[in-house]
Amino acid sequence: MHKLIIEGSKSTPEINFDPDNNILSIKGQSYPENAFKFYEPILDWVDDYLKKLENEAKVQIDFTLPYINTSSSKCIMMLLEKCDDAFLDGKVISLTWYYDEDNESELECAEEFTEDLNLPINILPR
Amino acid sequence: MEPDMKQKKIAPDYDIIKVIVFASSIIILSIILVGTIIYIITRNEVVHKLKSQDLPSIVESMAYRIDSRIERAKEVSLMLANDPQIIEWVSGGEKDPRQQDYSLKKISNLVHLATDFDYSNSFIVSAVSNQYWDENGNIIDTMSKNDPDDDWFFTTLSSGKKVSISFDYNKERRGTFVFVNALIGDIKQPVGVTGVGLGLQDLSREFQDFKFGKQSDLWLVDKLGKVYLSDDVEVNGKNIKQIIPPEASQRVIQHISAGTRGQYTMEYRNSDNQLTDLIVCPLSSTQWSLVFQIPRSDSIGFLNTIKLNTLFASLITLISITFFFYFVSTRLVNPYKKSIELNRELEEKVLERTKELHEKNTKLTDSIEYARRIQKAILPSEDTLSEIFYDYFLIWKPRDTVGGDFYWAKKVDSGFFIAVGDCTGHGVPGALMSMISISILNQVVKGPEDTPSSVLQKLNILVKKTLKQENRDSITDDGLDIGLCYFDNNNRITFAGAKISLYIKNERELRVIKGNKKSAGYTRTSSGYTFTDTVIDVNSNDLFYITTDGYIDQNGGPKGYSFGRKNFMKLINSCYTKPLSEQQEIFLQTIQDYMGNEPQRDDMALIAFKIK
Repeated sequence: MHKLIIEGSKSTPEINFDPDNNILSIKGQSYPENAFKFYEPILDWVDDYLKKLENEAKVQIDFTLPYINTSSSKCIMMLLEKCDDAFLDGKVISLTWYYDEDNESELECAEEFTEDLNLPINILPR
Repeated sequence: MEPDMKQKKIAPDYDIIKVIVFASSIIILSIILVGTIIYIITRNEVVHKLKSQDLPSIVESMAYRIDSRIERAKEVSLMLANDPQIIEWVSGGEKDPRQQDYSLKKISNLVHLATDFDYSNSFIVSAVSNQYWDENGNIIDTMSKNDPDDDWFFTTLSSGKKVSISFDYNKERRGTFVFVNALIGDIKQPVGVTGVGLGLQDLSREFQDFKFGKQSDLWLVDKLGKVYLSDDVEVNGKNIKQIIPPEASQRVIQHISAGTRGQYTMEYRNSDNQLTDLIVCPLSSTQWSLVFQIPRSDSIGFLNTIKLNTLFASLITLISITFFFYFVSTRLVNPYKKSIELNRELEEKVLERTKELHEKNTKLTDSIEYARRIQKAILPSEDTLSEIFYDYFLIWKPRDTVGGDFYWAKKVDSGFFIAVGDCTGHGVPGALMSMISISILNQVVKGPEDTPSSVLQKLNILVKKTLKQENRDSITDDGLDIGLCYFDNNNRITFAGAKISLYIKNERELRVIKGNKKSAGYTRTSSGYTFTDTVIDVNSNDLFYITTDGYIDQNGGPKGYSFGRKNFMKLINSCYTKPLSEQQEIFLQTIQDYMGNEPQRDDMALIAFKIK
């Protein structure tokens, strides 16, 4: 399966999903005009990826998201829920969310999003 | 369009300067290259001509003159030797007085009368008597085999050659003489030797006139290298080995002694390391050769003048070209003006083509601006707000003319409701959502029995219903965040929020009452979800703030991060005592400064009020 690499912009984060090394990275602020349009291919890719994922593989999700607007939040939540379901299914997945200590809302955001997740979470300053 | 164009001054930019420098370098390099090549070719040609024509012609000329002199002397000597009277007189032992008179007169005339020919002496030497008669009619010597000075006589007698020539450098006379000796009588049994001596002094003077170049030399050299005649008197009698470096003099001597007929040109470096050209020209009449040498710098010195003049001319040309180009480009052609003209024409074309788009855009803008009027009409008026609040300020700034942020107020008998809402999206979709939300609020809120939490619950259900978002598979998933307050006339407020908080500031503290973590209307918020009411007593001078996340999440500052709740609370604390109208300014200015050049990210709605 091919890598998913989307260059970041002012209002969209950089997406770097590497299926060979099992690292999924999202980096940057997320406030696109049409969040669904931006995140749809990403969510489709994740669906495909999780379907093909073997139980032995160790997946690492890395988030660096200083700002997520309302519509993006829904999409990010959907992505996390998909991964959570896969985790409950027996796949090895963990999430590390990096935040900047100078940005108070980043930490809050990370905590809010990961509150109800089952998969192992690490919230670390960067 | 016009004012813009005029302001664009024709200023040189770095690219043009680069082009000019490049072009100039190319021109200068070309001129230098051409000049150098021409100079080199010219110089080589000059040197070639020098070696093949100039040098040879000088020495040839000189050699010719010397040769002709010697030839003439030979003729004269032969005449003497073949003169019957002289033959008889010598054979007869110089007895006959008449013959003696005749003979002596003959040789005397040669010397004393025929001055043009520069015979410095003449002689008749008898082999019979061994007496040497000179041009003055005297016997000046008697030939003796024992005298080495007389060797020439005996050698000549036995040589078997009718005419022979010897060069002699005479120290007393300080000059080189050529003696032409002719055998009197039979070659095998000559009775004597007669001839003339040639002074070559005037030739020596002519050498000086003949040669060109101040530092050149012209010599008459024998096959051992001895200099018999020179333009410079001091050199006479020296050997060329003493004058020019050994290797070079070796070659010269070699060539002279080889006796080859043609001329021989060569070059060498003298003791001062100057490159010198040298030419050897054998004399046809003798075994001697003429040697002419001249330093190369002398012969091609004139080229320096050419070099300088060429350089000068090139400079003038370059300057003229520069001026010419400058003149042509600024006055006549002026590419800058042309390009600005072209630019203007293109802009016009573009404008034409985008006219349609422009019109469409205007329509859209007009339409949205009209929508803004409707949105503003639906929002509570200033009068309403002034009625229900003791004092307030309001910041309502949609990002795109219309927006999803709104505020709502309703007065009831027992008090009043105030809400601030943030619908999904901004711009037109946000505005449509705000219409739905306001409409539902108006519908749902009747009186005091409607607690904020119940209102929010109903709002949640009705929005979902209106947008058909009752299950998770719906096409849309839109809703709103909202903070709703109910103030009763007994100084109590009840607050419920869906992701929006209430800030209460007084002298003691700044208190934050957070809303529930679920928004209203979305599919994720189930219809059964209940919101939480919080009841608070109001004291005078309590300041209330309700804001959507537009203000708090606006990005800016050094790292481009959101303004943040901490900063928001700091701001409240810092200007709490100020009058509300002033606070409005401060809040607006603060976020403007923080934003800097960043565009507004989301709709903003912020209301601050006191109720007593």
